Amino acid sequence: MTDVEERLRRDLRQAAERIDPASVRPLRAPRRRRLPGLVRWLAPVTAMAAVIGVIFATSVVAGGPAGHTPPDTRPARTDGAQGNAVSGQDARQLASLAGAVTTLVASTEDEQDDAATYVADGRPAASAPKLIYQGQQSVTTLEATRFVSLARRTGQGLPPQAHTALNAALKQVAELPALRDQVVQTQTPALSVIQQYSLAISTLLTFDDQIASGSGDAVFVRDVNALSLLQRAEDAAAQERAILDAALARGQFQDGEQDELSAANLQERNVLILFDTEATSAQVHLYNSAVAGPQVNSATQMLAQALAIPPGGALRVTKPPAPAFFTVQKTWHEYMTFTLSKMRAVEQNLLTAISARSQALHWQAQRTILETWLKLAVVVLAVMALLVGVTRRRRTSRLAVR
Amino acid sequence: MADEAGGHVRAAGDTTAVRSGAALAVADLFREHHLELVRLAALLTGNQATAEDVVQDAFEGLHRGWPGLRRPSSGLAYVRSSVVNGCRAAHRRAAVARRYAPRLAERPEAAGPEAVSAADDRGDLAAALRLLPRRQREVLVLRYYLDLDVAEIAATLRITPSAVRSTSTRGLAALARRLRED
Repeated sequence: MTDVEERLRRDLRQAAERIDPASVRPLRAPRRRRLPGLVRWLAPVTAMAAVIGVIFATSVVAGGPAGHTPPDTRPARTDGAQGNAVSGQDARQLASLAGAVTTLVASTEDEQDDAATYVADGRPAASAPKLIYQGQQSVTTLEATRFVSLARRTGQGLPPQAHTALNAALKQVAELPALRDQVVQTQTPALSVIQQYSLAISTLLTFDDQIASGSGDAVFVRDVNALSLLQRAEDAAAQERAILDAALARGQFQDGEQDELSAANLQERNVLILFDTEATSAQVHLYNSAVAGPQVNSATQMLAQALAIPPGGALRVTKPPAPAFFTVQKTWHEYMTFTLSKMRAVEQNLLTAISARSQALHWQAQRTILETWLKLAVVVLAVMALLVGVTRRRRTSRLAVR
Repeated sequence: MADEAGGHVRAAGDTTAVRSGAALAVADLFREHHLELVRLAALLTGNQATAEDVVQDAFEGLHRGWPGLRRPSSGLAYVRSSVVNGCRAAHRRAAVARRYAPRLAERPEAAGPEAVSAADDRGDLAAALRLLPRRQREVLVLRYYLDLDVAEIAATLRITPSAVRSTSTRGLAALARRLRED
């Protein structure tokens, strides 16, 4: 030890001993800490809140507020949880609305046929055709009211295309009374009445075409396409029924009616070819087995006979096997109505599949959201655990033996 | 005083066994090392009152942090580090006070009748020590007052042993120069 070291040791001891033990104040009791636990957890809890805040803000900025999902305009994919998560709720609403539209369309088609018959009969006042027409109007109005109510309840927040189509459908429904007044109060020809009803039906069906808009689920899109095609075919078949009904009621075709009948038949066949392509083999098989039977065949034969009549020729259609009290027109009407009912049964089957799929998509979306939140919770818990661990380690490291 | 102080510590409101054990252990440490640590702080700060406050805060912190202590035997090292850190904080506060209120500031070297320093005590190395940089002063006090070895000083100051050695050498050289100048 050097001289400096010895001297330093001695001087330090002397300086220290200048402090008299008696002069040192006694140790005061430590102050009781207020809410020590809260203070200890303040930092990690604040950090956790900050993390949650950042994540929430990011999600709001990136995806919009909860409950409002932007329309999914991506093309259909085979499977995609994100796509399903976006379109699940919409798909369920759309499927529900589509069911209401399909029922309304069926009712309107029947009204179209009744209107054509009523007009072809010369608009007789207080007659059976008029009563039938008015009765069918009540049914259509009931279905329209149900559709409008459902649309107002669930139509918000749909993808833009579907929303536009829905508005058009609602407008068309609102214009139905004016069309009925025109049928009853003016001398509009039957073909024109049929065409105007067809236009209304086509507008309603446009909404059903949009059910799949924005959906990322291939199965859902395929089923909706199949339904849409089948509805178009049924619409064409309903036009055939109405045109030939009117023609048979008066015993002859009026100008353009046979051409329109031929066009409707062509459209039906073309759409059914597309249906065979788009739909699954099970759906095609269902259609072929459901829309079949003697009545369907007879209706097809009667239609073929009507189409085969040369322009300007007398309307002669052989009555197929049917109850004796059935006229040719009544037979055609009943058999074609039977055919349409079978087509509608297939549509209902497709709607059920669509509804089930949309429900599945909805649950899948819910599950995706739940999984996302669970992942988020795990991340937050991990961050919190990390923060607590770091805090504790920092605290204990200060106390550790070095 | 030590017993009284230990009683104060035990009376701090702890009821669990761990807390009671902590209070007893802190009381034992206090009894054995309080005066020594006050003197250490006084050598570092130059003021007995400040030194007492620093040591009291250090023991309070030890009492509070005892449950998190990995090894009870590290209590003394912890409180020693706390005292050194507390002295640095006191220096910083005093420096800030001097900077912003020079006339009112209480300089450690002239802190009244309790002042440990003896600036006029020419040849007193303890006084000359206060003119050294803080790190050198801490190392020399820990080494030549508390007789800590290099590893203990390194742990207390959170520096490497080689830094302790070099700092000590430089500090001693500076003191030797000062002695020669005197």
